[in-house]
Amino acid sequence: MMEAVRVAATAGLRLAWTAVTSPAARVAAVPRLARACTTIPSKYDERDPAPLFFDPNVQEILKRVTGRNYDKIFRRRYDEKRLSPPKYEFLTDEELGELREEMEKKAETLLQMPPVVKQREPIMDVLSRDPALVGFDTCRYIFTDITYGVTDRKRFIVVRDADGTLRQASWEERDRMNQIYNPQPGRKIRSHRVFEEENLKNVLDREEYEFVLDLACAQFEPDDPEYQRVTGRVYETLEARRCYQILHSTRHYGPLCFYLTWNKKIDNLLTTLIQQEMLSEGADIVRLYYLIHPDSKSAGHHVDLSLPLETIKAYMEQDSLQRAKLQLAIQAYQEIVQQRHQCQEDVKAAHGL
Amino acid sequence: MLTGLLRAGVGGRQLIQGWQRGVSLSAARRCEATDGEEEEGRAKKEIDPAKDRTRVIPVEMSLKYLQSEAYQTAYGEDPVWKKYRRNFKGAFPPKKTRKMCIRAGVISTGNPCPICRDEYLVLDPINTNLLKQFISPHNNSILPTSITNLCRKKHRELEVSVHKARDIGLLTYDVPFRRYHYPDYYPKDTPTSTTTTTTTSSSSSSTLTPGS
Repeated sequence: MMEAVRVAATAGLRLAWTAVTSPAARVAAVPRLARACTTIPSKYDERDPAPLFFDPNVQEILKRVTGRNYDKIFRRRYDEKRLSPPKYEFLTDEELGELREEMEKKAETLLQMPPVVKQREPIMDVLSRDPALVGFDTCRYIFTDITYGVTDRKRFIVVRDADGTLRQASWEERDRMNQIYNPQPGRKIRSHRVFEEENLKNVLDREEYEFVLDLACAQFEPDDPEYQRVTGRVYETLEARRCYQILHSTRHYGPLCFYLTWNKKIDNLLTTLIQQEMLSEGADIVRLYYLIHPDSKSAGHHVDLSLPLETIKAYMEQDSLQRAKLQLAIQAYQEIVQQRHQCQEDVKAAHGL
Repeated sequence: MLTGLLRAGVGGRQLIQGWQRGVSLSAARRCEATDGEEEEGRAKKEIDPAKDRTRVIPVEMSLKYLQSEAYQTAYGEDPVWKKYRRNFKGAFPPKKTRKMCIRAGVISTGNPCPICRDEYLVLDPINTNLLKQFISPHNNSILPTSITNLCRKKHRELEVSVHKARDIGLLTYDVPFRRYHYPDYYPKDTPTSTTTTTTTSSSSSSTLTPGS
């Protein structure tokens, strides 16, 4: 099975490093209280969101909500690569159609959402205890299967501790070994210091949300508690500042909506969507809410695709936590629409039609 | 007397470790030289204050300087390297810039590089306004010395501080795109692999029917 097994001897420094970031310590650091307070980001650590997130209906809604602003999707990347000059070509309609389709596909890949999954459980598998090996060396040995074609998640990594125990490597050790033998671009063995609380606050104050989220995607696995802390922190900041539209047409908008819906915090999002007259997206969010929380009061309502305002109103009446605010937004919207209609009528009357 | 003692020490070491000889000898010679030309040394010590770079300028002062009027009059809106011209013989400049402009705390050249000539320009991760002047606006890469004309020592410092600033998040960049392989995170064929997934999947399948 194992074609090539390589021994990675780890020194004393390494021991200290794993001791600091042991999973048990991190999990213990999150108090139960976190759920009650809104500013502390919540993690996906109780119910598993993966079956819902990967459900085709939910995926379709999230993709639709994300939107397709091609200027934003295909913006210039500042990635230190050589710039290539633009190409201009004469095309027939057919060729143009083909090219459009191709770019649609490309946009689809660029908008691939980072998976939303449950926080991972610490690995505690002990394969064997060999007391005969106690003190065989001062450091631990890590054995990594580096067979070609094995994915990082399925890679076989075991650790022989100094006390003779042979066990499965912990998540932190796995991440480290994977990065050593199968390096991923943008990832570092020691995590970026942006994710430290102080630096993160600084970056978020400068509104570099997409940068932080992209970096978190590159650095962490989606089920890493650290990933969920960072992304949760960014989402909470966006929620507090009501600037969801910054992430519109990026791969992170879907997970943002999913996070807000999961934690029943969509009221402000709906208000901003109504203010920007994106009603169908608002209705989509409400539909997503029903899919995720099927036991909510208004979930049984018949959802009509052609009347987005009715869907939002039904949600507002029974499930909304900030009903007054939402109602105000809806009223304002209706007034604006009415005024516009009136204006058109007046113009028509003035033209004598 | 001191020199004599040193000499004796050096001699002893020479016998034991041959490879240290060069270093020790040079130190002894330096001692001798300073002893011999003490009067002249005094005179020499009075270096031109404009060329003295022994004072350490804190970053905070540099930050203030970049906002100041003095900076505006000196550089205006241009980056600090814009109006610098290299001195070289012939039509083509040497490919590499000089190794360093400051030796032993004194400017050792007549035409120090843009950073070395102004002692209030401090390369530090916090000093992002200065670092941004050395970053290409087109693709975010650090400009080469053929454009900025920094000495190699300062260019190295620049690279280090830019990387540090990017690590802290003071400078942002576009992260390489990561493509996810969804089955790694949610295997569709075997949702019943563990007990936790069975419970959630069954609950979700029941929950999804009214919505869809």
